Formats: sequence, C-alpha cells, structure tokens
Amino acid sequence: MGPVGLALVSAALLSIAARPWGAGLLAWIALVPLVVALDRSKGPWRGASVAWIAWIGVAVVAFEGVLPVVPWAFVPIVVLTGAGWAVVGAAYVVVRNRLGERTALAFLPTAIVAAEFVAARRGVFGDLANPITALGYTQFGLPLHPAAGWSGVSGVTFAVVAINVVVLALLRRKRHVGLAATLGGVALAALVLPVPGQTARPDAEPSLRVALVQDAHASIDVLMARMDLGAADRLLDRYRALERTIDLDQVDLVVWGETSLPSAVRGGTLPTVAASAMRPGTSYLVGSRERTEGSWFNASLLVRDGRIEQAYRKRALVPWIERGYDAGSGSGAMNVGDHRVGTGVCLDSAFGSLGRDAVVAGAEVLAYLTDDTFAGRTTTPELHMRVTAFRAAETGRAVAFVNRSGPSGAFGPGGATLARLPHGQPAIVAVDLPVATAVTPYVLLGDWLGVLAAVVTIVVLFVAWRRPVTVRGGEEVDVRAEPWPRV
Amino acid sequence: MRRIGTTTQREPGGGRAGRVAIVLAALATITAPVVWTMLETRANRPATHPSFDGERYVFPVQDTHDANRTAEAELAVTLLAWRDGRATTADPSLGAPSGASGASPGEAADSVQGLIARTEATLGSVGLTGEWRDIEARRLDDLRPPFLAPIELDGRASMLVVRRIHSGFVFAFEADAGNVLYPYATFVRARSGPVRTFEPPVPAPELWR
Repeated sequence: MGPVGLALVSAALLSIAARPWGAGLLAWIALVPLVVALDRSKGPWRGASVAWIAWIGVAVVAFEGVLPVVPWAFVPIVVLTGAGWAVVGAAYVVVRNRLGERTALAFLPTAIVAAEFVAARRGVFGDLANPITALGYTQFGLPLHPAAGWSGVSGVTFAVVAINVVVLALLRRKRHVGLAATLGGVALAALVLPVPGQTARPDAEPSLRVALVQDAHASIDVLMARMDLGAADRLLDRYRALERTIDLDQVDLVVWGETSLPSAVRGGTLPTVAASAMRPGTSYLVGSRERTEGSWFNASLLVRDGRIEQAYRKRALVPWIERGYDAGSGSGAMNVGDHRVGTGVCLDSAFGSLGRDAVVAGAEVLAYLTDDTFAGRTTTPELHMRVTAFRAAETGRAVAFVNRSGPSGAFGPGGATLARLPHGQPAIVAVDLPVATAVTPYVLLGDWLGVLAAVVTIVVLFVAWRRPVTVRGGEEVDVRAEPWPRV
Repeated sequence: MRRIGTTTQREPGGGRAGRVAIVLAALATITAPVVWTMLETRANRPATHPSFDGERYVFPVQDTHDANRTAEAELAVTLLAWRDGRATTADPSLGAPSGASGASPGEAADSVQGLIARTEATLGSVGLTGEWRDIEARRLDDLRPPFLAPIELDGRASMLVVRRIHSGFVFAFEADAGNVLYPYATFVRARSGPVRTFEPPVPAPELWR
C-alpha cells in the first residue's frame, strides 16, 4: 500500500479513537501506518501531504459541530488547521533524511506535542488558536487521562505518540530496543505514577454540593425567549420545574448553562424576569449576555437573592460566531460561601491555561458553562465535555460542566466521572464536588512539556538543517555511517 | 518487498483490490459518521422549530389571540399588552370589521395606503400615538423597536410589528400568523411604505427595558 493509503488508514483509526465510542485505546497504534507512510516518503513535501491526510481523521471529528451552524466553514477549517501536522510530517522526513531513522522516531512525539502546543497559543493566534484537537483528548476515562496533571494534555499526547513509536520500533526487523525502552519507560511512568496534587484536601469540609441544570431548549426557543416575554417565562419555567425535584436547601451552588438568562444584564442589574426564577437564599452561577461600558460580554454571573455578586466575562471567544462580543479578563475565581469556585464559559474550557489561572487565583472547584445546542446531534457536545474533564486532571480540581443541551457532567480531581446528564433532555443532578487546594505540577509549572517540545523541535530541525541531505540517487543511506560535516 | 530506510518490510495490503478496499473502508470510517450525525440533527428538530412558508418562518407555538379581531385590532391589543405588561381587554371599537376603521375614502381595502390608514386610526383610538417616517433600509437598524412596517408580498399587504432585527432576521408580530421571522433580505424587498415609531411610553415588553 502506498503512503496515501497508509495515511488514510491512520486517519480512519484516529477518527475512531477520537469519537466517543470507547475506542480511545486505538490511538495507541493509530499513528503506526502514518509513520510507515512517512518512511516511504522521500521528500518533505510528500511527508507533509501524508501527515495532513492523517490529520483529517482528527479534524473531521473535532470540527463536526461546525457543520450544522456554518457548513461552508467546515472544509476550510479542516484544511487550514492541518498545517501543524503537515509541518510535523515534513520535519520528520527532513530529520529522517539527515539524522537517521532512530532520531526521527525519537523526534516524532516531541514534534507532535510542539505542533499542538504552538497551535493552541492564544498569544500567537488569538481567538484562532486551536486547543481542541490534541491527540491526548482521545484518552478520556482511560489510564492516561490523569497524566494531564503533569503538563496538561501535552503530556498525554506525548505518551500516546510514544506508545505508537514503541509499537512501531518493536515491529521493525531492526528493532530500536534502546529507543523503545526509553519511550516505553516514559509512557509507563505516565500510566502508573500518581500525579501529586490530584487528591482532595482531607482536612477540609468534604465537598461543595453543586446542582447542574440543563434546560435542553431548542435554539429557536432560546431565540424567542430573547424577544418575547411569554417565551422567556416558558423557558425559565423549566428551570423552576427541574429545581423542584431536588432539595435546594442542601445545595451550595446551582449552575445553569451559557447565556441561560433570556434577557441581557445591563448596568449590573439582573432582569426582573430572571430574578423571579431564582430561589432566594440560594447561590446561582448563570450565563448571560452582559452589556456594560459600551461593550457586550458573554458572562458568567454569581447571583444570590436577586443580586449579581460577581461576574466573569468570557475570554476565549469563538472566532466569527462571537464577533459581537468583547473578550473579558480576570481569572474567573469567585467566592461561594467559604470556598472559591473558578468559572469559565464555553471555549474557555478548552484552554488549560485559563483553568490554571483560576486555580492559581485560589479556585478549589471549577465550573464551566456552555451551550452546544448549535451542534445538534454531532459529537461536539460530548467531545466538549471530555475536553473539559481534562481540566480536572490538570489542576487537581473537581469540575462541573453544564451544557444547556447536554451532556453535562461532574468530574473528580483526577478526571473520574462523578455524575453525568444525558444529551438533549432537560435534567438536573446534585453532586458533591470534593474541595481541593493541592497543587499539581501543571498548576505549578504550566505546560512545561509543550515549551520544552517546541524548543527541542527547533534545535533538532536546526541541527538537521546543518547536515547534508543523505538521499542520493534515489537511495536512502544510513547517515550514521557518515562523518559529521565540517561546519 | 520494499526497502524502507535501513529496514526491509513486506508491503502490507495484499493485491490491488485489497488496497482499494482498505482505502474505501478508511474513507467510509472517516465520513460516514459525519453524514449520520448530520442526518440525525435534521431528523431531531424540535416540535417548536418554525416552518418556512416560502417567505417567512412561522412558529407553531403562539400566544393566544382572538380570531374575531381585525388585523389592526390584533396589533393594537398586542402593543397594549406589551406596554402595560399584562393581557389587555380590547376596546370594543377594536373589533370593528376590517376596512371600516378609518380607511380613507377611495382606498382599496388591501392596498398599503389603506392598511396604513386603518392602522393609524385603530392605534390612535387607544392612545398608541406615533409618527410615520420614511426611512432607508440601511437605517432600520438604528430604530429602537418596536416599530410598524407595512410589507407587500404576492400582492397582499400586511403590517408587521418589528420586534427585533438580529443575525440576519427580522423578528416580528404579524396579525395573521403571530410571531414570525423574516430573512432580512425578504423584509427589505417586501417593505412598501413608511415605518411608524411610537411616542413614549413606547409599548415595549418588560424584557427589553
């Protein structure tokens, strides 16, 4: 089979691994056909092409939710976001040609982590940064999931690619035993070593009881509620009805989804229609459009007794779709009783750095509000929740994730699922979230592995660039047999 | 057999047919779930989803209204309910037969001019005073809703209470259909006369204040 066919097989395996079908372990071998395809590629352009083809398997799943709302944007997004993998493919071939196969294999996990790390930098790409296609996210609920506590999802991605390289190295006739042992050791460490700071604080009040409420209204009902008082009442009635089914006296915080208030908050005042739907004496974390100082914000509001106590304004805006909003600032950490709750809205949950900001500001629990109704029955809502569950593993904090259309869920400090609400149905659940103050390596150092990978990638490419090409006359040769060039 | 780098491997995939089958299976694995979820999304549209009648989206769930009222009376009752924040018992004069509530002599009952005249007479009779203004389409966004706009589609004139212009749609109340959404381009094409803005107190729902 040719390189293109092999790359397509990789794309198919990655696609299956990325979907919420419980086949995330396939990611451990999904890159093997791609690497074989890269080995059969003589030049960097060919390498870039086959890597980009394999990328399609990741991107089609990750961006599926774009189709129902902006169908014309789907193909351009899939094409353009593949640039990182294309560079990795080209870089692999260059390194293989100039520094040898073993170096190229060792380089691959670093290169993929670097590509993901750079693509997700808001400081570089602004709102166009892409944080959702990391290979590590395929490991939701699997043994590698807690490893995000070491260095965010970069660490999980590194382990996944390392396992692929180990498999490939062992399958080869000329086994790279040393390389396999080294990368296998790293992957094994990620699998078995407990992450410091991923346990709940034992001496504290055991938990914060949080009610997650998803209203599961259709988009058109939400639109109507913004413009019609009767429709707004009908929308809020569903929240009242759901909350009557649990004992609110035992709940510390009720969380609604993104922009769940039918009318915007202006001048820091909660609209009457919204206030009337909230029970006095109970704290609510609700999403709302907010108009202040001449700007519109997509906000998360802490409300008690009809008064807005604190507000967080979404920082990571969805490109083009949310062009009417301004980006907010601040960590999102709020006081709920004696505890600090960090919050984020929608795409905020895909950026580990924003969750880390909240924890650094003292958050003991994280709560994310979103509304993925636009995505319909695509996999996007489920994947969004899975991505958010990695914030729990990274920070060692329990996470509440409320999606208006569902699914919603709660996750323990290592990422374990504590509660889950189904997709597409109105539902409520009250769950005790462990309160934690310990610090994980990720909270302490950030995505250090991503930084390291980017630096190592640049150094390796520089060294490779300084060495002469070793492909002559169409024949690959072992560059290690050749002397280093005089520089 | 094929030489790859420093190693030698047997080429996987068997014959040409096998390779083609693997490639097709891979393509199907990547694309079929996308197609399936899109079909599921379409099939699971909620019952409240509006239906498109060729020009506008009409909502199946509507606030109740009195079928015996004239179109102008229906508009007036709706505006009064918004202004007062509650359902309004219509003035008996609002139930006058269509075409008899102030249309100027000689104006056809279904013409835009006749519609404007009847609407003005009806709204004026219940204190909903305002001003008819000629305004360019590009400036409609600057108007604070609600405002009235006559439209004419397929030779039929009707009066819209424009509630909001947002995201490429005009959300409006129309006497014969209740709440409707017009694509903005359709609205601009069909608009056929001046718009009427209201003097304070503007009959806006509490939600917008």
